[in-house]
Amino acid sequence: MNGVPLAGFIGLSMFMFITGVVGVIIRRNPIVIFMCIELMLNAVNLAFLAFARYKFSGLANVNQGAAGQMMVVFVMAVAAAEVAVGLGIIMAIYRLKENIDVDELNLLKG
Amino acid sequence: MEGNSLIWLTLGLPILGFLFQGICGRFLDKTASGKKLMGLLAVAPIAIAFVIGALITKSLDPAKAVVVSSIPWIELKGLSIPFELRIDTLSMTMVLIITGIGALIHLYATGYMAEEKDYSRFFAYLNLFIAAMLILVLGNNLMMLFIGWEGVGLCSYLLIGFWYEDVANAKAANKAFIVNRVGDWGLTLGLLLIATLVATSAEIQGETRLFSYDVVFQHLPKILAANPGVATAAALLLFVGACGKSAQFPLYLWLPDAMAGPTPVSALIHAATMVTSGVVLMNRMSMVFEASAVASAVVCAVGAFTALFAAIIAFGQTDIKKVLAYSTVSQLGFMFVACGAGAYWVGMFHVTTHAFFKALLFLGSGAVIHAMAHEQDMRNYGKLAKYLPVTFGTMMIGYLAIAGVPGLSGFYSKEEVIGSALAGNHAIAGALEVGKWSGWICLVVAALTAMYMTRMMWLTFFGNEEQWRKIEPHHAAEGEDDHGHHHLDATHKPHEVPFSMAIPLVALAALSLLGGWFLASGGRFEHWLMASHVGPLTEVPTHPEGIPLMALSVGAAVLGICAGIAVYMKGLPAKEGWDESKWSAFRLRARDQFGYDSLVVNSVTSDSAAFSASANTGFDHGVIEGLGEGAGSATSWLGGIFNSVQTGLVRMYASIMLIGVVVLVLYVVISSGGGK
Amino acid sequence: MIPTIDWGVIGPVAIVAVTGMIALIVHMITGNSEKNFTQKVTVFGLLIALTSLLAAGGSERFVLQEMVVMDRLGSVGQLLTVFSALIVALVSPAYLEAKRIKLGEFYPMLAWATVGGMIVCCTRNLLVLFVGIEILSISLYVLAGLHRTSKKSEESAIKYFLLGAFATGFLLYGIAMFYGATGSLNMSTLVSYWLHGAPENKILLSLSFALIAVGIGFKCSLAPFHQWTPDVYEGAPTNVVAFMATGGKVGAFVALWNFADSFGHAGRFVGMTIATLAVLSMLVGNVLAMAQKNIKRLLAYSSIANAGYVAVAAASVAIAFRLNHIALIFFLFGYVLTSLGVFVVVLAMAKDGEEPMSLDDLKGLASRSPILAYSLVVFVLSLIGLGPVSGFLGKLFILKDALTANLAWLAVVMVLNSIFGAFYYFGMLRSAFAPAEGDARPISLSIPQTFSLSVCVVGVIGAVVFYAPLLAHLGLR
Repeated sequence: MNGVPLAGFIGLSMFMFITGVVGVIIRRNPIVIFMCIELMLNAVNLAFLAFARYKFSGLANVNQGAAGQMMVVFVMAVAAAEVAVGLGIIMAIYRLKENIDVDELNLLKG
Repeated sequence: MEGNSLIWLTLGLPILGFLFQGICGRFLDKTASGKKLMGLLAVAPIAIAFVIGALITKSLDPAKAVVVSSIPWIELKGLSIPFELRIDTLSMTMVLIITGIGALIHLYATGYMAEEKDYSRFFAYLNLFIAAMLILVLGNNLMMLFIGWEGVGLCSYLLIGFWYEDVANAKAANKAFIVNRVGDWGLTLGLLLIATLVATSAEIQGETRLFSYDVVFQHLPKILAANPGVATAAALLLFVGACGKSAQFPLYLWLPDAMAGPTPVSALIHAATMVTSGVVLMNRMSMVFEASAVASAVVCAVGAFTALFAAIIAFGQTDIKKVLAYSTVSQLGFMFVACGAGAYWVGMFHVTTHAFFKALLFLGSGAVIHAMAHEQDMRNYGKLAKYLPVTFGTMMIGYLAIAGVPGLSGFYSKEEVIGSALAGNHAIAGALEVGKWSGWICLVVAALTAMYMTRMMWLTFFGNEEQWRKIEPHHAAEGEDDHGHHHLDATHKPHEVPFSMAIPLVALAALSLLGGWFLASGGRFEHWLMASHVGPLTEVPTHPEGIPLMALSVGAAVLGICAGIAVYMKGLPAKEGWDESKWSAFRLRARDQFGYDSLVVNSVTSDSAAFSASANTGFDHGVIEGLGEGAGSATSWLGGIFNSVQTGLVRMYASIMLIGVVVLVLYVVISSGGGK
Repeated sequence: MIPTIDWGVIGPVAIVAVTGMIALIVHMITGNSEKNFTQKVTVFGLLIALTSLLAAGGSERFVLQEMVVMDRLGSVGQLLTVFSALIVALVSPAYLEAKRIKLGEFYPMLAWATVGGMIVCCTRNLLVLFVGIEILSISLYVLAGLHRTSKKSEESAIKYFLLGAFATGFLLYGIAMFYGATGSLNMSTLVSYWLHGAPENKILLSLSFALIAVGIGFKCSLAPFHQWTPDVYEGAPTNVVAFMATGGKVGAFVALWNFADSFGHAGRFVGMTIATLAVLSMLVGNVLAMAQKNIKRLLAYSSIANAGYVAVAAASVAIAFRLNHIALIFFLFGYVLTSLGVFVVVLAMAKDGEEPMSLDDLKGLASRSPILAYSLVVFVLSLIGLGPVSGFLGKLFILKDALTANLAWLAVVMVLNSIFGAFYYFGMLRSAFAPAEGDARPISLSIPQTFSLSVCVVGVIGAVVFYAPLLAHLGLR
């Protein structure tokens, strides 16, 4: 890990984030869209951990380092909660319409 | 000056009346005796308020404005707005008009509305209106004026739409409200501008009542003198507000439609009191208008144009209340001309006399409408003088007064309006003496006024046949304002008004007859009202040298009356009769307000087909069409753009969000200096 | 090192959270019983929370290592959030019955959404802010899809969910940038890092400002992040929308204010960015509302416009630091009471599985129920911002703030926009006072409905009349 600079991690994180954003825009299946959102969240986690490891490590910065790691735990927990709710909603839609293509969900507009 | 605290009672009584009518009214007004009681309890607070007001006025020293102790209301750091009342000659003049004429009209309404099922609701609104109007004129700060301003607007809305089950009434109420919002926009900005000016004045130390008149009056003249541009802006913004409430062109639209409300409402709110609040505002803030000759010229020009425009339209009207409505718009134009000319007190003088005779004329027209089974079209009247002697006699006095016959109240005030405008030493824009031009226009309008009022009187009370005898049943069904009364037909017999309605008519007739002479003699009103103006005023003579003013104004009145009699002597001419195809093209245009109303209404509702049609028949192709179409299409274009992205597709929304994110990030990174 | 916990501060939040849990257990035991114990438990719990909030008062406090900041704005925000939840819980049984939605889970979810809103109100810590926003949002996703058999309800839920999660992604990335620059999650630390930090930290911080603004802007429905609002408002059950538009918004608005207050130190661009969002929102909200015939969409656009007004206040505080909370507090007070009132009127009209959808459905309200019609008059006046009802004072104070911050142009835009408001708000009154079409049966109001309505009317008028004592009680004088 020592060989990779901070910029490498942040670059990877940005790449993951942008991939996720583009995926949300171009995919039509809500499950895949949600997977792309998960990718965005994981990019965030990577960024937090990289910052914590590189900028705020060591005994002098123990509180600062802990803050980033704590955040990651919370993000994972919230993502799990979102999965539960999101899949529930998608299931409900499937029961009503037998089709989950988001481009065909446009009763509400104007 | 202990007695001055009694002014709170003047304000409190109508509020009490409102609360009582609103809360207990509906349980009492089911029976005839209950209605009598409610009527009494509606009139009494206003009458008592009038007596108190008169007592305070009697002991008032004109030279000294009294601020009655305040109740804290809004307290912020650097800004406090208390409830406080100001007693000076201007506010007390209005208090006497509002409560005095208000009490008479309340009394009249107890008779007029006797068959109404929502009796207490009507009087609750009416009492609330009086209270709001009193707040408007009595408040000692701009914020109270604003609250009163909105309060009377609300009451006006509620009362125009009183018979809300009729779509036309509801529409008229909405129109009044929405058109007034345009005016209120100007007023709001004007008030904020003035408060900001005062707040930023370096002299103010520790004074937080930035909206209060005493503070404003003390500091504003110097600020305005130093910044003439700002003075013009403030004056024009206030003027936009005044235009809305006082129904001046281009915002007069709502007032003719407002006549859909019950007639006492038309008399009280849309003739005598509320519509004059624009004039009151200009008197109160006279120093702002005084500081800007350009703004004064605009006021004059708009007033004169409105006076002329409305007078011409009045010739095309056949509904008796519509004639009076346009005559009100026209007379308000006179008041604006006076204020623009710098003779603010003359404007108030005309407000006062106009309140007398226009309230009288409206109440008289109400009596006629009452007698004619709620038929308002004058083409169905004729020879009513013998059926309605009291109404006829009193209305005759009102008519002579508005026509400007010497000796009656209208004559004095109108002569001074024209005189002060002709003196022309205030309203000057560049080299153009707008004041003088307005004066000459007013003289023409005075003759026109006499003529169309003659037309109205003749069609109603004289002529050679009783037109309603010719009505066939199917004819009566259309265009009728029916609220559970029987229809007008050949067998109808007009009946004179009951006692309760006759008293106000007679009282107002007496005021119209003698009020003008009393107030004008020895410059009584002038000395009285000038005391309330703070700051330097340009001296405006009301009898300019070299112009035989008296002869001119008498001549205009006589000319108008004679012309009217000559035309309408033989009854209704065929070219003004039921068959509108025989009407002259000009009269038809006048009836439709030269296409102005439909132009505005259509462009606002952005119905483009109807809009362009009415624009083609409209009177000012180039300017108005361009402006209206521009504004209308700009709104719909914007709406179209915003709406075209509201497709209901999630991915579309996400894309828009993403565009927003990218723009935001770029903007922030660039404008934050990119880390430098 | 266990920190001592000031229960006076987090007590109300805990009470509401526990109320939700108890309500869920009660619901599991009693099911959808006639007596509706779930609702009673929820109302009771919310009442206790409300009382404890009113009783707390006290001074500004930082507790739990500054993760909770209990200032005036926060406590009033919490109060309004709990109040809206309480009113919604009171009027919901009649509506859910009329719409035949038999799900008692509504009440626990409502309580937890309230918890989220309350947490957001009183923090400047980004971790806590994130958790609060998510608790609020996830509960609202579920609530939006509460009507399981309605395609519109489910569609609104998935739209809200996908877009909401998308916005959360941006919010989190912004927080990560903030953390990367400062090593802290507390927005108040921004000042020192901005002044003394390295240049690359400034880039990170500007990025974090933009991205967090997206996340908070989405919750406030500021344009261009507003598009979910009309669709979700139209599709979701009306009682849920009533909470979303009031309690759900309060938290977001307070967060926006705190965010602007903290980031304002970074420079003028912060205020100008928020001002731009404000102008866009007012324009989009008001222009589109004019074309609406659907009541709920109209109210959605109206709430977008109102978010714009709040953003004006936020922009002012970002530019002129140390502005008082009063403008926002008063605006929120008027906004919450007025919007709740309008929704109570709409909810009360639901019957036999039907509810008013278009403006035409309001026709005849004046004859069917004068009380509803006249309350509507009061609310519409307040929405337009006419004196003397609370909507007017709130806008006035925001204008004053904008002038203090030398944003006169923004004040003018705001005044102009509030004129547009008159046009479409008035459409509601025009319909309400038009003759009835179709169903002309009188509407009978239940006791909770009458109570809620009168509280809103009295509040809207009373906020102005009893302005001084009210502020004195809140300790703002």
